[in-house]
Amino acid sequence: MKSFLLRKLSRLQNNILYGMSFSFLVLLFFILFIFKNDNTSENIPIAITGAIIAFVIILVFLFKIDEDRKSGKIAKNDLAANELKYRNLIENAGIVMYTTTIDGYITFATGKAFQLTDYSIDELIGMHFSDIVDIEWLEIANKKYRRQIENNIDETFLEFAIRTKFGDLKWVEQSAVLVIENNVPVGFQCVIKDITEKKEMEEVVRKYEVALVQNQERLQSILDNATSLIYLKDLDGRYLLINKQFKQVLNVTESTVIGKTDFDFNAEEQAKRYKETDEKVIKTCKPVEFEEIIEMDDGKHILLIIKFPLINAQNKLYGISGIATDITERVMQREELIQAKKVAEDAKRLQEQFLANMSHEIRTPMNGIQGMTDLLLDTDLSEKQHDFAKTIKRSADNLVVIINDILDFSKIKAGKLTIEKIDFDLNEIVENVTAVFMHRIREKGLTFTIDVDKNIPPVLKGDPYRLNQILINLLGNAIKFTHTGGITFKISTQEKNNQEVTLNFSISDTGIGIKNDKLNEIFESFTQASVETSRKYGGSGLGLAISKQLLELQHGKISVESEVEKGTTFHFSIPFSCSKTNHKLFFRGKKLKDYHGFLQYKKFLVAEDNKVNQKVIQNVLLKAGALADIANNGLEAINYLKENKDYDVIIMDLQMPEMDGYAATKYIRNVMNISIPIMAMTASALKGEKVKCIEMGMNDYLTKPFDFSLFYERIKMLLDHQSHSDSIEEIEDVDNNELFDLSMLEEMDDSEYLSEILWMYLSHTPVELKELRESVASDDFETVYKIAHKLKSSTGLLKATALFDVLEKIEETAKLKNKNELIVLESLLNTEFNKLEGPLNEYLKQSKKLIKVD
Amino acid sequence: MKILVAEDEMIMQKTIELRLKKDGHEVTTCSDGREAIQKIEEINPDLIITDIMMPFASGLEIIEAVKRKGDKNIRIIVLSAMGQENVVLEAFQLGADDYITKPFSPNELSMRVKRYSVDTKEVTI
Repeated sequence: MKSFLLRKLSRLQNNILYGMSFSFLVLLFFILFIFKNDNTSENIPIAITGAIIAFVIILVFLFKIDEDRKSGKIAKNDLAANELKYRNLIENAGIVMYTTTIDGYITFATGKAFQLTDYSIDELIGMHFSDIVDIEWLEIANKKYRRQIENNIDETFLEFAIRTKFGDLKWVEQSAVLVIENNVPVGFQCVIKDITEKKEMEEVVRKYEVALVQNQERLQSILDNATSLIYLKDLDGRYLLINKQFKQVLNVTESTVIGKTDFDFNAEEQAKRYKETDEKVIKTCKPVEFEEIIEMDDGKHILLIIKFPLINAQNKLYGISGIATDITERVMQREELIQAKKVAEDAKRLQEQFLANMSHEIRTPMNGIQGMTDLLLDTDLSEKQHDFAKTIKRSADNLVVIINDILDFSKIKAGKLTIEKIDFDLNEIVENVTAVFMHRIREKGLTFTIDVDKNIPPVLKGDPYRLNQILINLLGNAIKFTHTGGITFKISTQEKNNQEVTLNFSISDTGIGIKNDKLNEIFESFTQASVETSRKYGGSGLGLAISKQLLELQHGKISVESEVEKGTTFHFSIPFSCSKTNHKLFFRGKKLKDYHGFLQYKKFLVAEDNKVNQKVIQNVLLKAGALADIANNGLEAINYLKENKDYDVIIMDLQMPEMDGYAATKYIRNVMNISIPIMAMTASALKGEKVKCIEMGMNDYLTKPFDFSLFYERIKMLLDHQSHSDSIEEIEDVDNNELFDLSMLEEMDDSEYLSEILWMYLSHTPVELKELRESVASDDFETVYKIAHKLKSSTGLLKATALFDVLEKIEETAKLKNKNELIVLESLLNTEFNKLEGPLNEYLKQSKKLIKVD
Repeated sequence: MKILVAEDEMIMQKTIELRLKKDGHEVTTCSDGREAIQKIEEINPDLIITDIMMPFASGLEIIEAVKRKGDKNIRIIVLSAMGQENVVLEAFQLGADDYITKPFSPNELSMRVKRYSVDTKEVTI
């Protein structure tokens, strides 16, 4: 009330002055008028009252006018203030607002329009709306607003693009209100918002979405097109996803599978198995692979299933995935391959067998012929008989060469030829070869020069037989193809160090020579220099081919030079190892009679099925003063041994009927425990044979046909208890290492101790074994354990690992009181011990010998 | 050194005996626990090599007997088989000084024994 009054009063104040001055003037007029007309003092109060009334009335009027005027002003001020407020609101809110005429000319725009369009407000006003719109959107915008006008639509919304003053593209959202006055559209009032950022974001999102969809499509494509069955399961075993192939092969749909587990549509057992593998994957967090057979319409199929864990970005296991690939065909192929391999291996074995048999079949009678011929030549013959016998010998020798060539060639082709590594004397070989050809050289009237380097070590390590073979081949050829002049044979050293020496051989002749274009071919099998050559000179055509192969097997080389009508020179080189042994092991070419008394009174048991060979060996032995019993096969030999164990050497042919050399030796060594040295005689020299012989317990072996002096020397070595260590050294070591190792005992460096220990072991162990057997039979597990434990000590000392292992097993089994297993183990124990006995006995004998020497 | 070897397996016994004799020690052997304990009283050895499993008294009992005797200078080496580790631990708890697992090389035994002979030499000095 007070403020109201105060306001009124303040308003009044301004006007009162006007009013008062005006009414005062009026009053003055009244008074003057009255005084002019009348001199009565009674008129003065009337005049004053009248003036006052007039004053008041005028005041009221003035007041009213003023108030009217004032409220108008206030109203106008209010309006202006409001408008200003409104505008500020819009400006501050960042809204761009503008108005246009109905034709689209901009009449007003808020300040922010500049930021949006880069046009200043002044520039904007008067511009056409379409000057701002981007060309692409012009038509759409125009259409829209025209329609708005036509249809009298109050408000429309449009998203479109604009171009700023500098040509930048911006996105806007516009609300356009149609301004109507007196029912006539007069213009637009637009609020426009910059949505460039939003639009750009939308674009990015859209791109991502496209990529996402594409990615999903690709993944789906993989799933759909994969030829394997693919599925996903959660940790409870519920199917989350299956692919097309899964549906097709197992004939299911999503609805039958998704959300369900294997138990819902598989036999319980099968489902259980699946669950097991699932759990394994979950537990180990590793993939599991296995094969599974399933029944399909066309029969059984084998699937290779790989189940693997699914790990999310937080490294947590959330499911399992499985990929099943049909490998039925592959498995079939695998089976076929295995089968084919077996067939191939069988074929290979058969081929080896054939080679071995063939060798034997052919060499045996040849051996007989040669042996007999030698013996014949050693008897008293007339000159004619001697001549005939010699011719037979020569033919036989030639035939042997050819047979050997063919067999060698087959062996080389089958990859079965072995190269020896034994000590030999080069001079010996040279002498031998020379002796072979001397006669023919003299017959043909040719000269023969030998030049052997003085620096060649006396004993070399290599294959003397093959070297012999090559030299005979080359010298034979040289002589064959030379009719005048002579032959030169040179041996020189090429390289030499402590370990190895390479020898160069050259054989030159002044013969018919070889044509240049044929030089390369002559080393090929079955080719000779010309067809005529083969007709005129004969020969198998294998010689050079074999020589070349043999050289290559020994890491050597061969080459040839020749000039037709002038002569030929063959060069070849072979690396040999230097030997450590001394001369004494080597024999000189002796005649049979030089061995008279060599084996005096020594007793031999010979197991050989071939009658001729029997005779040969018997005679050879008799010539040296030995006594020999002949057995026709392994069985007979064993029978002989059962009656009389007093033989010094057993000569064992390998291939015999009833019981062959291997079986007989095995029996003699393992069952009869006889350690008499056994010399094997074999017609074949296949790789495995050597090892097999030694494994069976043989001490040495010879290949038939053999040189009798070689035979004598090797027998002698056996008798002296020195096996021909060089030729079988590697294999001997292998054998012992497998059974036992006496290095710990040998540390003592005391042969007496060694023998005592060995003797103790060999005599006590059988007793213990017997006791063990009895304890097993009577269920006395405690004693079984004790005995096994006890035996372990000494067995361990001898490092007989196989036996040791069995003993340990027996200990364990005795603790578990498993009688049945103990019985099996006990028999195994005996077998293992038997294996040891022979070699240990041998060792014992050897060390005993050393004691005697000491 | 005076060494007592308690081992019932003959070959082992012989091997150990010979090895140590060659090294110049005075070796007495016995094949069961009872005998071993007797011999300890008799000869007063510097070193005892005993197997764990033996008739009449086990290797552990021998160790106990030695400790009961009270002679601090007697060294004890125990022979064990593989797998008898826990027994070996017990042996150590009772006072054994060393152990060797069978099978062992005689040279190894020789070297181990040498270690103790050095000790005793120092003691006597």
